[in-house]
Amino acid sequence: MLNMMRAELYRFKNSGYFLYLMIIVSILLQGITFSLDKNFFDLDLSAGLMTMTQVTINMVLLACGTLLTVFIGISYNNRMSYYEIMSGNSPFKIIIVKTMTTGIISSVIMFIPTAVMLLISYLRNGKGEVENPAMVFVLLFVITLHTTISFVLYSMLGRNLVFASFVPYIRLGILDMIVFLLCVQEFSSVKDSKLLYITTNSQMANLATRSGDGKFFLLVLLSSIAECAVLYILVYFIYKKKKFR
Amino acid sequence: MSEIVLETKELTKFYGKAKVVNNLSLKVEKGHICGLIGPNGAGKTTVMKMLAGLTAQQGGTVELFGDGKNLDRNRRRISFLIENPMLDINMSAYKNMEYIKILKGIPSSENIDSVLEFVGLKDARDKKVKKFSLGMRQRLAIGMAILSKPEILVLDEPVNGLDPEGIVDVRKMIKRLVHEEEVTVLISSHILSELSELCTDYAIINHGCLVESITAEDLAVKCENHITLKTDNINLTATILEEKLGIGKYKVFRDEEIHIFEKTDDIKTVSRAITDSGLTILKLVNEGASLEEYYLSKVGDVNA
Repeated sequence: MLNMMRAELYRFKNSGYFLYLMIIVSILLQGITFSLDKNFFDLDLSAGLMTMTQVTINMVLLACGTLLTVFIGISYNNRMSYYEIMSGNSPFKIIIVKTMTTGIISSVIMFIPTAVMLLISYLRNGKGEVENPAMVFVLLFVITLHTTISFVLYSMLGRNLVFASFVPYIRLGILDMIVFLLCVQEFSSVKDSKLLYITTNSQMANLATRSGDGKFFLLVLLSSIAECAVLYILVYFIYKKKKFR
Repeated sequence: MSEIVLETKELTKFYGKAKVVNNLSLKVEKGHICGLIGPNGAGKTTVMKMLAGLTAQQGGTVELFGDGKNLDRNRRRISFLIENPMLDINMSAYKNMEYIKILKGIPSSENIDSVLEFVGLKDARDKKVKKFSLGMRQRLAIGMAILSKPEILVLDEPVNGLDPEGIVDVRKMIKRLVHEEEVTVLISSHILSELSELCTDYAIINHGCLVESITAEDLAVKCENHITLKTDNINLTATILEEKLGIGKYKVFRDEEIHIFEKTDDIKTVSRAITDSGLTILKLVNEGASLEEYYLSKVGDVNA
C-alpha cells in the first residue's frame, strides 16, 4: 500500500503540470476576493469569511477540483490506473490510496491560500461575530477535504476523462441543487433538513455564523462521512466487479 | 510433466448475451512459451484480461502458481501487457519506468537504465512518451513489463506496431528471458510466423472455445510433409507399415491417425499394402503445412 501511495504521488508530481498548476491557480484565484472587496484586509474574520465564501472558495474548488479530476480521468483513459489492479492490489487499498494521496494533497493546496487570507484578516482586525475562530479553520478544512475526496470518488466512479472533467460542476452545481430542491419539497422550512448539510454551499453559508455550534460541526462531519462512505461502497463495487475497459 | 504455473478451468465470460469465452481450459507449464492464437474476436484479450483481474469471469476458475485463492497476491509475480501500451504520455520513458518501479517496490535503481538499453530506448530515456512512435511505445511497455523480473509474462500482441528489426528484438528478448530467467510466457499475436519461431506450446481458440492445445513438437510432426493414413484397424496398420514396407518413421495420434514421414512420394505402395491385407482405408492423403496453414485448417473447421 505504501508503494502504491508513493507511486501515485510520483505520477501526480511528474505527469504534466497538474500539481504545479493547482498550486498556482489556488493562489491566483484569491485575487477574486479583492475584486469583490478591495479592502479585504481591513475586514474582520466574519466579514472576510462572508466575502470569501460567496465566490472565491467555490471558484478554488471548481478550478482546482477540475485539475484534480482531469488528472484522475486521464489515468483511466491511458489505463495507468490498471497497473494498480494488475499489480495485485485490492480494491480497498486502491480507493484508500487515491483518496489519501491526491485527495488529501489537493485539499491542502486548496485550503492553505484561503486559510492564509482569512488568517491575515483575523490577525489584523479580530474575529468579528465569529464565536470560535479556530473552529472556522477546522471546518473550512473539513469542508474542503470532504468536497475534494468526493471529487476523487466520483471520478473513480465514472472512470473516464470526459465524465471526470465535469465532476466538480456536477457535484457542486447539479447535486447541491438537487439536494436543496429535495429539502424544499420535503420540509416546509429548509432549515429543518439535516440532509442539507451534505451540500458544500450550505456548509459554507453557515461557516461564519455557526462555527461555535457543536451540532453544526457534527452535522458537517457526519454528512461528509456519509457521502464519502456511499461513494466508497459504489466505487468498491465497481472495482470488485472488475468493470474496466 | 513440469510445474503448471498458469491454469484456467472452464473459464466463461459473457458480454451482454454474447458468450465471448466458452468453458476455456488452458494450462501453461513453467518455462514454456505458450502462443494463444485465434482470429479477431476469438476471446484472446478477454482471457488475458481475466488473468490480469481487469474483467471478471462468469464461470470457471483461474489458478496462478497452483493457487486459485490468492490471485491478487500471485498477480504480483506476473507482468501483463494487454492491448495498447499503458503509458503516461506526459511523462518521460524513464519516469514511466520509475512509476512501475515504485509501484512494484523494485529496489535497484540501476535496473531502469539497463532495461531501457535492453529494449533499445536508452537514447530516448528523457523524452516524453507523447513524442514516441507506436513502436517506441510498444518497446517501452515491454520494458515496463519486464522491469520487475516477473515469473510469468502475459503479452497481448506485443509486436504490434514494431518494425521488422523491432520484432526480431522482441523475439530475442523473450527467448533470453525464458532461457536466462526461466520466465513463463503467454503470448498472443497475429504474426504466426513469428510465434512459430518462439513458442513451445500453442493454444488455438475460436469463438471463445479452445480448438486445440498442442506442443510445438507435435505441431512440427503434424506439419511435416507426410502421408496421413486412417484405417479400421490402427494396430494392424502399424504392423504392416513396419513389416511389409519397412517404415519406421511414423507417429500414431490420439484420433487414430497415422502420420508417415518416409516414402511420402510413394502413396500408391502404401495404399496397395494396406488394401492387400484386407483393411479398409478411411483416409489416405499426402499432407504438410505451415503453422499458418495448420491454424487456418483448425479455425476453418470450427467456422464451418
